[in-house]
Amino acid sequence: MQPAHRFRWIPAYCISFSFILIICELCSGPAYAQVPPQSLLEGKIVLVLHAFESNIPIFELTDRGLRTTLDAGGVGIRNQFFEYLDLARNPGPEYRKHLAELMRLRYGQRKIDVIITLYLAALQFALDEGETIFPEIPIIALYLPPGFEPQKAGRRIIRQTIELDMLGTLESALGLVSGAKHVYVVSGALDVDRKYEDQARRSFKKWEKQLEFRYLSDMPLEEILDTVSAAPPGTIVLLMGFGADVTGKNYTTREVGERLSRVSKAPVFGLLQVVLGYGIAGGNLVNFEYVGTRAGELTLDILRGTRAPENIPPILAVPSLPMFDWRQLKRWNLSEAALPEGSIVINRETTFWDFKYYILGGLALMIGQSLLIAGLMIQRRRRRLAEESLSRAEEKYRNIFDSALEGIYETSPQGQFLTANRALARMLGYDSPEEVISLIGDAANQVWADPNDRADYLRLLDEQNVIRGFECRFLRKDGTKFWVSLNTRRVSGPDGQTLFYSGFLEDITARKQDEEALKERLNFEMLMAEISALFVNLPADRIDSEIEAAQRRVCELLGLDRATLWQVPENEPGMLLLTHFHQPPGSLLPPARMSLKEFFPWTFKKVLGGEALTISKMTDLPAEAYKDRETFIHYDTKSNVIVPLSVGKNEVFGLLTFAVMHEERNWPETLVMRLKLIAQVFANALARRRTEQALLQRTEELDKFFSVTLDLLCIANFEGYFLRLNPAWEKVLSYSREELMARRLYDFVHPDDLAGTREAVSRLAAQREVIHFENRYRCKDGTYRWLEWTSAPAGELIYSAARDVTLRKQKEEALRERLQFEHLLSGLSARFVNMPPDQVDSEIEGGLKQILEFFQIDRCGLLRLLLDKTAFQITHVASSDDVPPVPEGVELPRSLYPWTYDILAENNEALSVSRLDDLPAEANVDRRTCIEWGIRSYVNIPILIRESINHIISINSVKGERVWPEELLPRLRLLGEIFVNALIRKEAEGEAMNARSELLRMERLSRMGELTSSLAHEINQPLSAIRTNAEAAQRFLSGVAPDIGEVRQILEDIIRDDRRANDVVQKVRALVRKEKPQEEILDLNKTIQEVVGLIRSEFLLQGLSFAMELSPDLKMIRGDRIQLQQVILNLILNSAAAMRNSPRAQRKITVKTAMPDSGTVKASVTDFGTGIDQNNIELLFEPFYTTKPDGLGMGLSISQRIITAHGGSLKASNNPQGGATFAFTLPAHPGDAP
Amino acid sequence: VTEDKPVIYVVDDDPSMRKALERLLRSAGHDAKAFGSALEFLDFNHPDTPGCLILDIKMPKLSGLELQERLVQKGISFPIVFITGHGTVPASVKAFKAGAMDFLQKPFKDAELLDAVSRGVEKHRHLRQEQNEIKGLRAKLDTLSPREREVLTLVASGMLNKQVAFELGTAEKTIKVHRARVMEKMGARSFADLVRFAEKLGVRSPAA
Repeated sequence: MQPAHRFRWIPAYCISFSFILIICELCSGPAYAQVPPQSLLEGKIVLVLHAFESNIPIFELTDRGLRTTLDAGGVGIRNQFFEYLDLARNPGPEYRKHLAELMRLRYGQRKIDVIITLYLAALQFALDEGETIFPEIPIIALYLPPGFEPQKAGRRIIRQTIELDMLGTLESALGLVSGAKHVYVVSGALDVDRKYEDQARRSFKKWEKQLEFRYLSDMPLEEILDTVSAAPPGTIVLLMGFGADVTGKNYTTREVGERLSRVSKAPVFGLLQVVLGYGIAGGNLVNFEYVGTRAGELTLDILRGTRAPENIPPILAVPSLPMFDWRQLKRWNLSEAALPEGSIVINRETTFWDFKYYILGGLALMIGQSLLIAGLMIQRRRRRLAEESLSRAEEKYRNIFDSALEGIYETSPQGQFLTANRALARMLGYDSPEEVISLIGDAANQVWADPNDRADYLRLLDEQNVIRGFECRFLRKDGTKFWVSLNTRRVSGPDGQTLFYSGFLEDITARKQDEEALKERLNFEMLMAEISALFVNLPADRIDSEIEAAQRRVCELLGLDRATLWQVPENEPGMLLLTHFHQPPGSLLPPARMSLKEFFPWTFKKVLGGEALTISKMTDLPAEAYKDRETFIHYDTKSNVIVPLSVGKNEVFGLLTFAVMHEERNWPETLVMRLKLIAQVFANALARRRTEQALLQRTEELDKFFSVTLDLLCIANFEGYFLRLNPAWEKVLSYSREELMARRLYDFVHPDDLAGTREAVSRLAAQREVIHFENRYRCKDGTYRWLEWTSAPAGELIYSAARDVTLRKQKEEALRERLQFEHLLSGLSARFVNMPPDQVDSEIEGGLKQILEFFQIDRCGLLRLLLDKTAFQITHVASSDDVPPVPEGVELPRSLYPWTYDILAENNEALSVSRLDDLPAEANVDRRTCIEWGIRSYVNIPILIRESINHIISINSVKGERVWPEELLPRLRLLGEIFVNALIRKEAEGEAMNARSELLRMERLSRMGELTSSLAHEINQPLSAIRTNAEAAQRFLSGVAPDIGEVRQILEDIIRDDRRANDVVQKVRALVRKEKPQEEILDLNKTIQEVVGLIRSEFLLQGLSFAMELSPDLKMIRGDRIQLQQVILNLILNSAAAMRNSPRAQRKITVKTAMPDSGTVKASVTDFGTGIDQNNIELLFEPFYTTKPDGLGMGLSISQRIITAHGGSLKASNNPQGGATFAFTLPAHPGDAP
Repeated sequence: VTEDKPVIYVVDDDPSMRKALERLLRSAGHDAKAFGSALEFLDFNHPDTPGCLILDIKMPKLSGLELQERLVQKGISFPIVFITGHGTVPASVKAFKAGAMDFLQKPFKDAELLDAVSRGVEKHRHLRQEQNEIKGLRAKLDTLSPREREVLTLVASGMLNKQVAFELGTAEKTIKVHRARVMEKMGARSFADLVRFAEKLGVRSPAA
């Protein structure tokens, strides 16, 4: 155990040393830059261009070295510029262009003195894009690839390349690993990795005879790991650069180092600083911080001008530094003594690196830990004091020796003193040397405390003749023992017989005591270090056992009997609970609970302030501490020390006590300090556990909440993957959580909500909260649920709570649907209000289509009940695109669906059928018809107008059965009513329209009459003039002297007026001709009825009656309806005029039609009027013949022309019974029967 | 009286008809004057001679009936013979009410027109005489003293002298004197003349 024992205290030394080193570095900077000529560098600017992003470890380390050196050298922080160009993640010229613009913006106006670039990409950027921004400024280019030669750049470029010290590392490793036989060289497969591997092969040539080398680079990492894990004893693993393995998978060297170390059967050595601390033992490492330091120094040289430019070599060489990891050395049992001179040792186990976990652990713990660090520093100081006192003891020894104050003696082999000096006598407690000689006859028993020692001593002397520094204990005269160191020579006679022993001795009691004390202290320091180290990362469940183990060890080491740890329960401030203890077996066990006030009132008051309390003996306790004393005595405590437990400045939450039961003792300040440190370690661990437990409890609570809450909770990332989901998700969506997490959440979002969801996620990615966001998620059965989200980003994650708001949404949806329906309804009703009748049909079809879409039904139609009530006829129908259409006009007789028909047409009740199976037995026929027509569900609603049904609106589902919601019926009915009302109005308006067109026609006819009346005036005018002129001429001629000239003039005027009258007649004819006949196939009966309908009421008022004798077998004719009607009207009006003076009873007009032969249609108008004057019967059809006082004499003339134009003839005759008959014939339209 | 040669005026918008009418009137020995429009006629300063007006009912702007109205308003008393191409009952009634001489429908016989014109001229001549007589009587009436006017009025209403005296609060003798003076001043040769004059002048007793 001795070597290990010795080894153990080294770490404490190292810890402190490296810690101090770091502190020094951080605080004061390197020694070489102690007195910077500040003024020289004022205003000097250094620009550092990093090729890549800022979080690269190599950059961090390099920057630290640079900064420290530049700071110390007097280049102020404000004049150090660090740029991270991020070129690897942003390839392409566009980025470089913008970046260059940015650089110009930043540095175009600054005078930069030195540029430092990291990696080739940064150098190239500075030379290319930076050509005009940073012209001619010297560049220190770090981390260039091996063998890189820059082109002439017109400026100074000092290059640095990463040189791996493979040979140095190998040799360091060989120094540490005794008897090494194998070297495994692990290397990556990238070009640069290969380059270094080749270099290694060359470097290791000289060792190839002694060592077996294996180069592990042509295999996947997994295989490398396997190989290394099976390495035979005596192997050294050497890790080179590792950017990717042979399969092309990318790694970092650090990562590989970490994995290698984890599985390796042999210590792993490396070449890069970035790997240290991640499992490798160490090596001659490229120290990036040191590269930074060296680059900084060079920069300072350039800035100061202390070295002429030509004296600065173009290459900056930075040696690797031997660096090792203490923890790994310990793991592989490698002796630190064998480390190369100047090695830097880091110890991951207890260096400040580990405190980062504490810092993460919480502020309280951190404060506690800083106390521990302080404690550790104190320990180091103590140890140094002990060393100093040791050397003082040695000095003392030498003084005694030099001044002959040592005991000098000669003794016989029998044990008698032959000579002795005063010093000896004094040491042995005798008054004088004489007394020594006289009184001591048997040294073996009188002087030697242990006679066995003497036997050994004599044996050694026999063997060696000389013995130096034999340490043993002697007895004084009074029987007390003391330590001596003997230096003796055997003086022998010629035959080898021992004559006597001569020598001197030294009282080494003091030294021994010092040594003992030192040993004890060292032991304690070791224990301290171990405990501190152990508790740093101790899992909570081991804290209790380790505290008790530590209590035991402290007791054993310090010779204490009992250690107890009490804690104040959080909910019982006045109580103490015994939570950890160590005590000798058989002693009285302290109670598990104690009341502070009852048992330790005084003590607790004392320690409450955080100070430790020592009680050497119970009698030291003051009178007011009688209760405490009673308690201590009760538990056999003779002497004790009580240390409060607290963390940082928080209140005391417990006590750590150490007691001695067998004796009273003193508690040196140094010991109490250590115990306080122990207490601190415990307190930290307990506090940490409390925090952890609280955290655990909180976590459990959260977990519980997470699992029981009805809300949907989740954690997701910005890529849209769920990372955690609570069980409520499964309830709501029916998917298992695994299913939900297996896909991106977008896969579950309703397509219509995708864009919004993506936007919400990008909002979150921009670290903004999203509240009240709603979207639809698909359930396993394909339906969708509405979720309302509240989400908050936290770093890379999204924390969301969602609520199933489907019900609310459905209500909203229903409301919205309701509104939409109202909208549809109001739209349709508004549209149908003033719709021209000719648009009604197409608009109804449009409306039916809207209904289809709105209610998502397959087919919707309007059916009319036929007048004879035998069938419904489809008048309008709309079918969705994916179902077969139904033709309009189809009649559906009752016999096909008697049951349905009766409900609709007889009972006037609506009928809603969701499934054909719901139809009653008596509806068998209906069911069969439905099946035949492919109808699966249907709704028929009678539309009652003025309490009678003449239409139904019908919808049916073809694609599947459908449950018809109750609210559908009234809605459909409303829509149906709109349509049917429109239809009814259309019919009414159609009638009105006909009437109107009749009116128009009548207007046209009467306009003709008006025209003729104005024509009459125009014709009358010249006729009157002619007549008057003619009569005037007669008068002139019958006079005594007729003025012939006058008469001639009159005749000329007469001729002119006659022409004028003729013109008017031509004009009328032209007018009549202008009405182009619009030929069509006509039913003459209908044509006559229309005319009669037009004038009947008027004639009735005049007391005229009509008799119609229309032949039902009349053939169709071809002609212009208006012209023919004009003829008929003319004949009727003539007849009416002829009966103006007839007795009322006789005023009757008979209109007849007949077919005198199969090719002729005949119509006649007969009256009982005055008849036709037989003398004038030839004149009847001449223009301007009239019998009417206000007649023009054109009607019959025009009528005849019209009839003649139609290929017929118009004739007039007197009736035998009186009155006249006007009749016309027209050729029948061939082959046309009515 | 012979100097009073009547003038027949023709207003017709149709020139050929106008000319024919003018000719016809001349052939019958009338002096005729034709106008193309009613306004033209109104602007014409016609001589103070008997005459007659032949008026076409249907004319643009001012119709025949409207012209008739204007003439009545202006106190121009020519008898009017209306001629019309397309006669209407209401128009003819209106025309007669406003004092039309005749209403002829085109085409008409020459005798019809000339007869109507002759009657018109005669009527106008008579009308003019009457008007002249009243004019003279009114001048004579103006020479009467107020008392004589009162006496005239009462006497013309058929009262006896005695009654008149009582009415006026004077003696019968005085009335007789007044009566004789009135007869003299009014140029009445007999009491019957006086009463006729009074009647023409519209002098009446309020009590009557």
